[in-house]
Amino acid sequence: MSETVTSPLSRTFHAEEKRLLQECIHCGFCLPACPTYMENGKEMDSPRGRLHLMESLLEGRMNLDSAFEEHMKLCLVCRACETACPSGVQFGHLMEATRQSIAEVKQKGRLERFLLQTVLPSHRWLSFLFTITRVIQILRLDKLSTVPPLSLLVPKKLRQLQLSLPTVPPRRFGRSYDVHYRAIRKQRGTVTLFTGCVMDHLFPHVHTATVRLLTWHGYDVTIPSDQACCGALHAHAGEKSMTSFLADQNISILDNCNSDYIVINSAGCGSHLKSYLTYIDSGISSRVVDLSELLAVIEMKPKAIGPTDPVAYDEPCHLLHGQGISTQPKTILEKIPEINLVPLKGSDRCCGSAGSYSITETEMSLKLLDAKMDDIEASGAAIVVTANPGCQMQLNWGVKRRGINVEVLHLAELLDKCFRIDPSYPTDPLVLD
Amino acid sequence: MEVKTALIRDLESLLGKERVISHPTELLVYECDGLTLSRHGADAVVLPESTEEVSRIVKCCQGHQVPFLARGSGTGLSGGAVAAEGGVIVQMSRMATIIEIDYDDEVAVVQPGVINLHLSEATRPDGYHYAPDPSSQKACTIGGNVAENAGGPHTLKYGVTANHILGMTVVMPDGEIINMGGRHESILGYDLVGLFVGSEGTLGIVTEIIVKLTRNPESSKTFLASFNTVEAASNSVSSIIAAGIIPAALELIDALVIQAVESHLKAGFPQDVAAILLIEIEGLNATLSAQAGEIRNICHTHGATDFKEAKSEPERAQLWRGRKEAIGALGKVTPAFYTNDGVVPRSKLPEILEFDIETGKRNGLQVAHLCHAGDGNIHPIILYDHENETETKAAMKTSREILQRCIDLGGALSGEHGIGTEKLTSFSFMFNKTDEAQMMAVRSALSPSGKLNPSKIFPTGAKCGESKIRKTVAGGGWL
Repeated sequence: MSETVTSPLSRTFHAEEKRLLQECIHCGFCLPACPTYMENGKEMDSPRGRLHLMESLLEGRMNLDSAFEEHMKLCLVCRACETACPSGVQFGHLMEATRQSIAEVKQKGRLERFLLQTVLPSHRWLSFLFTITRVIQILRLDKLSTVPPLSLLVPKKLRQLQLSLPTVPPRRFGRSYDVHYRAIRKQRGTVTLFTGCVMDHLFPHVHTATVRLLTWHGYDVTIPSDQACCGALHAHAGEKSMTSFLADQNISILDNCNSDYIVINSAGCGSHLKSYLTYIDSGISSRVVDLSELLAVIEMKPKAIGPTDPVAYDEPCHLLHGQGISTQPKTILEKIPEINLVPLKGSDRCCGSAGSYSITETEMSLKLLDAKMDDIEASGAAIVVTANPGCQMQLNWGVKRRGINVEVLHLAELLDKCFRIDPSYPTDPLVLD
Repeated sequence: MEVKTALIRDLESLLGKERVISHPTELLVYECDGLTLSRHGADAVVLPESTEEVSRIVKCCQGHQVPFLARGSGTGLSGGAVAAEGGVIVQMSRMATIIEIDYDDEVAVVQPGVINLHLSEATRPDGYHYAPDPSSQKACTIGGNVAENAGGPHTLKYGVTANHILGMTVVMPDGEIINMGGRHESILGYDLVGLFVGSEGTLGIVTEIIVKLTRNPESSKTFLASFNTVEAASNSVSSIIAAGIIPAALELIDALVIQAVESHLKAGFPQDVAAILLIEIEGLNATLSAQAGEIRNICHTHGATDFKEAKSEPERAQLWRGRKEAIGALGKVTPAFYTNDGVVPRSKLPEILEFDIETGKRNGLQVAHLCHAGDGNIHPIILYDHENETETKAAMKTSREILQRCIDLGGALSGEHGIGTEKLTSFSFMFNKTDEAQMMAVRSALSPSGKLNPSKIFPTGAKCGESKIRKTVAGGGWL
């Protein structure tokens, strides 16, 4: 690689990134693992092709043109290629570095910048916008915006976002003060729960279920008040300064809680924070675990009875590929007495949610969602279990689009339902002041 | 700025803009396949979805007098799927449907873009698989396997791709669509299927393939034998074959490869040994124990330090993942490497392995081994730094010396990767002018214009592209 060439990528591709790029030996094992390649059959939309483009740009053999940008944007960053790669090429990291370079050269749209820089990092903004959405949903105005003439007034991307959103709950999970929940019966240890942004506002019931499960299994649970968005979406979009700002803010808060574990129940946040921690080499990285990692090592209490309906597990990419967690959630599900687990073909393939991808790359996202829904229907599952808010929204939307009778649950929700058969299981976790 | 030629406009009118790739930036990714040092730019890449579309594309290319060729997943290691003289790449990734699986006749009908492993996965629940299993089977296409007559670890017992193809639909170089073979073996007429399999995409473009399905064995056992010297491992291989045992697979992996695999994939290979043998036997349950005992004895006689059986299916799968993905894993230990595909008679295995290592040493390079040892396909992997011109030249020299030695020992240039653009210069090691003229006569009869996949296989048949290639070889940049 010639050092004299100044490439638009050279600002974010340092010696380490260049070395990582060299680890790709072009074997092509990643091609069939890539959802976009399998969908359109184009090498530019495969991991190997994208790495080849990065290398060509770095070598000054091409310009950062719209074609380059398009193929980088079409990547889901699902990281399935990392699982497939025999050489362990850290594709996700290289893609984030590439997108940082693109972000430096090409400014994003106003709406995207507003969402990333202003809305996501702020619980106030999120509360405000979700409250408006809730009102719109209650008044059924969201349906109205799909028919002319209103549909002509509302931007397409916004309509898409509205349609795919679940029913917005009345209030978010987090509070403006720290909340502590006490372990039920014998104390086993302490946990800090990371609550995130979308999860906090749209899936508070998943957090509640998580807290009930943890306290029931003997953990004191702390919810620090000042936590913010993890910054995964910013990293995917190449927003370097906001990514570091959010990660540092969260890490300093989590670092202050002297708990045994920092539990994350959103695969996307977990994957992002874990890899961020690896790069900055923070002391807390050994304590950050996905909920399923923790639940897999503790003995689940036996009274739980599984649902009689067939259950399928769809693996979130950022759990399976991002964190290498696959057996834990499966083992937990298998241990539920009388559960009827059915295999799901393509459960390791992205559903097309991928953070904001469903809004930015709607066409590809819907193709992947359709393929996923075909597999779900073929599996005969009545309940689909996932472990990530993005997947949960996307799959729910897939169910709504098809009008089929399938329930989409977070692993914590399913377990919580199973444990409720026990009369001593808490309906509300004990709050300590 | 992209300027659309008449060719591009015609292709777009055939397929629509979405299925014609002609932007220079996008074409860069098609400049090479698994062999990154042989790079040639295409003028367009097209994505057909049916046999008829392939036929129309071929006619269009002939009309414009431009070269064209088919490409699958681009996992080949001989530069066979690159546009050596420019022109149009017919990318088969959208023709990836398993059309029919027929267990009564034990055949499947597939489109060429079907991934090799996907066929076995589709038939596994019913107790069948597609036997040829190249190491790249997770990614390579059956169409590509047909072109290269691909092998793989289990071809020791089951034979290479040619033994598993019954019939094909082919778009001929003039665009005519013909069917050859059928759902059963046939001895009548010329064996066109036999001619086409392994023709490296120079005689026609395959658009539908009838393959044999193989019943899964009743039982199988996988062993890992460790040795303190490569010689002890290769002697064991020779003795196992000499004893009349035909394992399903018999693979030799040396310490350098083990190091690469264990640095990321973690297949469970022992790291303090000189070489391991991965041995798989299969068949009726009752016969396996005796065979296992015999193999164990042979290995111990040759000084195996450990001999263990994979205890579970996941353990077996992990060992095989380590073997099959070892080539990819080498990215961890070397900036570049070159996989030689030479073959020797199995009895010459110890001799050639020793020669490889010596030759590497003499040229100042390390040579790793990842052999389909059972059938003498040695795969010496020469490690070098592609940014260092001296090393690159030394690697090329080492490879040529090894190939020459393989031929001298009664072997062949290639066991499964084909000649492609990569071995043009060593073609003459194995074939004389008469051999070449005979083969060229066949090609000229079927592809008179020579526009289908030119500058592959035959050194003298190559036109403008060849001089380009030769020049780079002389400069040491190509290997």
